[in-house]
Amino acid sequence: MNERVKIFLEGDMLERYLMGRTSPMETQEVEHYIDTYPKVKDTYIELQENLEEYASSYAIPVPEGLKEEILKEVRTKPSKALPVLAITACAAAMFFGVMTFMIFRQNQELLEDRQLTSTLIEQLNDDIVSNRESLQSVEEQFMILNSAATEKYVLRGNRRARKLETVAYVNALEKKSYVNVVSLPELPEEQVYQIWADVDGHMVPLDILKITKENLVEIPYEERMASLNITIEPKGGSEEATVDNLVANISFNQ
Amino acid sequence: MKPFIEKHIVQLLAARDERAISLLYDHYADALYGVAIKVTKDEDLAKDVLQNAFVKIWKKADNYDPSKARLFTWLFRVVQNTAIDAVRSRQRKQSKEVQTNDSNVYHIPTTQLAIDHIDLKNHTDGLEEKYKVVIDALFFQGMTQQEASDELNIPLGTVKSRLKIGLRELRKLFGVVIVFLTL
Repeated sequence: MNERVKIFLEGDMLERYLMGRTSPMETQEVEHYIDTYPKVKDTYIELQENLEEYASSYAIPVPEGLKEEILKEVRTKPSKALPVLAITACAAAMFFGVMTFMIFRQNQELLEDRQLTSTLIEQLNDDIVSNRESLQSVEEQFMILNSAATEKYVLRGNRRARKLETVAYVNALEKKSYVNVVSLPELPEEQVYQIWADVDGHMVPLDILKITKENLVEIPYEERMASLNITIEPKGGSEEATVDNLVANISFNQ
Repeated sequence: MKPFIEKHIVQLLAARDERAISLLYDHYADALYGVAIKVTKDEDLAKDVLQNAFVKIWKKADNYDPSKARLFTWLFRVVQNTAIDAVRSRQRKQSKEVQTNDSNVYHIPTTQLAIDHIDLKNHTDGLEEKYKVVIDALFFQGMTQQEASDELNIPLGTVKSRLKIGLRELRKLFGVVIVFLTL
C-alpha cells in the first residue's frame, strides 16, 4: 500500500469526514484521497456501510403520529426559506433608508433653524440701529432741553378746553421746537387740535396735537415766531387757522 | 442497503417532491430515532430532534450530494448534529437553572440520565463492550478519536486499534446476520 495512503488511513481524518467534522481544507484533502486512491474509497464506502448497519442495529420504532406532524410541518413551511443574506441585506437597506431619511429631516430642521436665527439676527440688528437712532434723538433732545438757549412755554386751555395743557420748548440757537402734550380734552371724532406759529401776523401750521407715548415731539421751527396758538380744526388739520376756535395761546413777549 | 429506494428518494428530493419525506420516514425514521435516543438519552427530546431534523432535511435537500456520501450518512449527520445541539441547549438551560436556584439542589448530569425503560433491540450484543464504547463515542457522541481517548481515558493508539477491530468485527457480525437471514 502506498505509504501516504497508509499514513492517511492510520489517522482519523476519514472517520471525521464520515461524521461531517472536517474543516473545509480537510474536506478537500479527504475528497482528493477518495478520488485518487481506490483503497481510501473502499474504506470510506465500508465505513458508511458500518455506520448504517451499526446505527440501524439501535433502531427504535418511532412514536405514533410523528410522521403526520412532520409532514404537516414540512407542508406549512416554505420549501425554500428566504436566504438569510437577502433578509439581512433588506433589513440593512431599510435601516440605512430610515437613517438617511431621519438625517435628511434633521438637516432640513437645522436649515430652518439657521434661517430663523438669521432672521432674528437681522431683526436684532435693525432694533440696534433703531435704538441707536432713538438714543441719539433723546440725547439731542436732552441737550436742547438743558441748553440755556431753550425757552419753555406752557400753553393752557381757555374755557372751551380747560383741561388742555401743553408745554412747548423753543431753542432759537439750534432752531428746534418741541412740544410735550400733557393733557388734551376729548373732541368729536371729526375734530383735532392743531398748533400754529404766529409769524409776521400769519398763522403758520406746525402740527396736529395728540397724546403720544413719547413725551416730547419735535415740531417745525419757525423764525420770528411771535406766539404759539392751538385751535380746534376739522379732522386732518387746516391750511388756515380758524381763529374762532382758538383754545390756547402763548405769546413769546410775555 | 436499499440502492433502488435510495436512488428514488434522492430523485424526489432533488425535484422537491414531498413524497420524498414520506419515503424517507418510512425507510429511515426508526434508525434515525435510535440515533437521536442514543445521543440525547431522552425519548421526548429525541422525538423533537427527529422532527426538527426532518424539517432541516427537507429545507436543505439541495445540500445533499450523492457523489460525496450515501443518503443514510447524510441523514445521520443531520440527526446527530441536531441531537448534539439539543443536548447542549438543554445543558445550558439546566446550568442557568442551577445558577439561579439554591446551590444545595443536586442535579443529575444529562449524560447520566437512565433510559432503562427503553428496550433497545441491540444487534451488537456479540460485540465486546470495549469496542462498542469506542464506536459509540465516535458515531453517536460526535467525538474525534482524540476526544474519545481523553474522555474514555484510553491511549489514542488503543482507540484507533479498537475502532478498526470493532468495525471489522461488526462487519463479521452483520455478515453472519445477513447470511442467517438469507438461509
